[in-house]
Amino acid sequence: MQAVMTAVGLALPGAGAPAELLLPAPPEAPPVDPAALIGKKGLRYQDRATQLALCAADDALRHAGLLTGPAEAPPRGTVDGAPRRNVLTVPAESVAVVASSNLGNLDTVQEVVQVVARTGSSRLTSPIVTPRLSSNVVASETAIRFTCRGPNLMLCNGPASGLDAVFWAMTLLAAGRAEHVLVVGVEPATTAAGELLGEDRVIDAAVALVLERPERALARGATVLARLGRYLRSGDPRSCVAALSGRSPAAGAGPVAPERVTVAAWTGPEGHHAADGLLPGVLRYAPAEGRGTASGALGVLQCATAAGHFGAGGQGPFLAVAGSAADDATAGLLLHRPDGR
Amino acid sequence: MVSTFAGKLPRDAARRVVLTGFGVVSSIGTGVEEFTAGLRAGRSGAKPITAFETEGFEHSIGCGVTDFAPEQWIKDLPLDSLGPATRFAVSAARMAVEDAGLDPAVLRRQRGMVSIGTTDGESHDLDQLVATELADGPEAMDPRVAARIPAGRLSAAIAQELGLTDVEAVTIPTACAAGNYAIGYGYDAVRSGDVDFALCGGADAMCRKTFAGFYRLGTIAPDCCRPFDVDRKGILTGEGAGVLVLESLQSALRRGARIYAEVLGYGLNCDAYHQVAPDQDGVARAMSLALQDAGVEPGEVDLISAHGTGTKANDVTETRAIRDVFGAEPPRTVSIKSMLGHSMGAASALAAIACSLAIVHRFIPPTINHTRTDPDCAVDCVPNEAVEADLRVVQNNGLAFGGNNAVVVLGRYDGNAQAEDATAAGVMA
Repeated sequence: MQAVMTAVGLALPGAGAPAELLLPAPPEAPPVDPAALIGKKGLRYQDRATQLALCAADDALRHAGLLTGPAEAPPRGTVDGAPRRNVLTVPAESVAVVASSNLGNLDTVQEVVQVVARTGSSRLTSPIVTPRLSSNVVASETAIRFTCRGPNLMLCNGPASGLDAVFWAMTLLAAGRAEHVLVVGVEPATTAAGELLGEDRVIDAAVALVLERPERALARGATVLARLGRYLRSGDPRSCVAALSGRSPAAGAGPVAPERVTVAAWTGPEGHHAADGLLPGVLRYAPAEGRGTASGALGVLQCATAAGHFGAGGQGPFLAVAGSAADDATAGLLLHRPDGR
Repeated sequence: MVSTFAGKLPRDAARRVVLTGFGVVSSIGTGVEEFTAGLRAGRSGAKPITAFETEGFEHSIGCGVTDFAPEQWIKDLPLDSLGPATRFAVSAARMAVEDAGLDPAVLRRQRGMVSIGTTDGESHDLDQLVATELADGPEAMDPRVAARIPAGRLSAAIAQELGLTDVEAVTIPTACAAGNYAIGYGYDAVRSGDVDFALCGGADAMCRKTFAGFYRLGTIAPDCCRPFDVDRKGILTGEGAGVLVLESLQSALRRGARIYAEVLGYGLNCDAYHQVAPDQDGVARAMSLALQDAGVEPGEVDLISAHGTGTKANDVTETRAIRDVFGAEPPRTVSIKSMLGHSMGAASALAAIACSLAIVHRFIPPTINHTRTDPDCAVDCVPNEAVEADLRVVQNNGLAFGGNNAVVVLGRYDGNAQAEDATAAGVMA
């Protein structure tokens, strides 16, 4: 598979670098403050999901060496001669954005629906929030802030959504539709999201990756954090793991014969006992555990965890599986060490 | 499904992808036959909105789907487990599979994809739930309706209804261009050999919050949608679903399928400029990318199905971008939103179906409600009456909030003239 990960960006309570995703979540980590990370300019009318996504995107693009200039606008009166903020180091047309979120703009939608239901008309609905009613707002705001003029889209695809977004990125690279793809997974802990999920705490975080073709990464001297391997969609985690690892004999993996792959580490679906018994004895990480439901951000967080694992000298391949037997579908992705071992 | 990509696809090794089945739920007709007749007749779907309470809105005309019986198409899933947009999507998918002459039992043994675009997902249900919550408290909310809300249901429910287990089911909420995104994604998956078939399209059901949002942006027309007209006053919201069956030419020829048209390529980009204002350069670049992907010169395009919403901003910007790409004499450029209203996530999927039907039946669907073309939108929009035309290459534009642009290029498939090439290609593959 010809795609590599060259950067990770985090806007996650209690983790500033991928290596920290390997550890248990610190208790009582303060929530992410977007204005402290990227400045308050431009955040005022954005929903929480978009704000978090912009932070993670900023972090990933800078780590990838694709973005220069300050994140914050220069103070008033010092514009002349001050460096321009957020400048891409590659052609704007070559950078695509694929975002994933299931709860994304639910707060905006709920707010508008409530206003309309209460007042019986649109009179008190602010036109300022109308763009935010579009689910794709996270992807497009990210593009607007960093001038990413390549393909741009958003997935709201349930628990598998984050890994699906990574696969979309691989497809865009393989088809030559983009040179660099920024993948962002985000779930905000808004009141609306909390109400929808009941007792569950939402992770209130965004994770971003930069993916490229290996030759492009090599040509621009980028550091490779992981190589992306096979991706698979199936009806449940058991058949997904079976097909990608060749380890368990479970049926239902479709017409593709399992290849023998010895998974060295993995991370599984969310949900109570959802990962039990799938890969017994294999090193397992649970980056969302103790942090809250990651939902559409999960797959992206899993890939960031793989980067942390490889960065710490861990062996490959690393298997990421999202979507439990209780969900509509499961997606799985194999990631390999940068050196291919 | 498992990815088998081995790197950038060389153009000469790319498989050809054809459209072999359509499912249509629209305000001007259900199914291919009625939809074709509606397009040819220039039928209008505009009528008073009944999908939700419109009290408090001065104007409330929309293009609702009012005479549709989902139970005719949805056979396995309980109807009350599906929201209105999902019912449209599942019905259109069942229709498309039947139209393609495909047996779901055969599809179950193949690798597939279901990709459905949407703007609002099940926001109509969400409207109702919140109204219940406000009136009678959260306890009164119906849990069955709450379970219908996740947007991923639009594609997952299609896989469930048809019993497809080895599919990637993906819902793409790229707003008003989402249908073209879904088709493009399926095109890449079939072309690369990742899947054997793809059910692609879009679905949306009219809902009050989107109506209210557009209303407050001042973009809802009081009576009808008049794209490119000097007196255009905005959009009418609409609804429905369009689903297309994509498969390789090789697969279609092997099973002797009727081929509506070939997908020649597509282009995706982002203006990265403004949430609601389209950007001329961005839109032009999306069209150029699509033509380049399709290997088509601008001069070879016979018809453009415009995004053509009927707002001041869209129509001026889009036609200027068209002239940037096609020069002073662009191909005829129509907007079927004049008939269907803006069916949001379904819009570009229904338009892609309309383009294919135009190719097959050799006519151009008109832009209705047209009196005088705005000099700032100087295109031949084929006003009011369909015309006969021999179309080889048709371009379908989809532009969305966020500056998310997706353009699909379709071409005529001439069975006899091209069969030899295709057979040779099939043997080689």
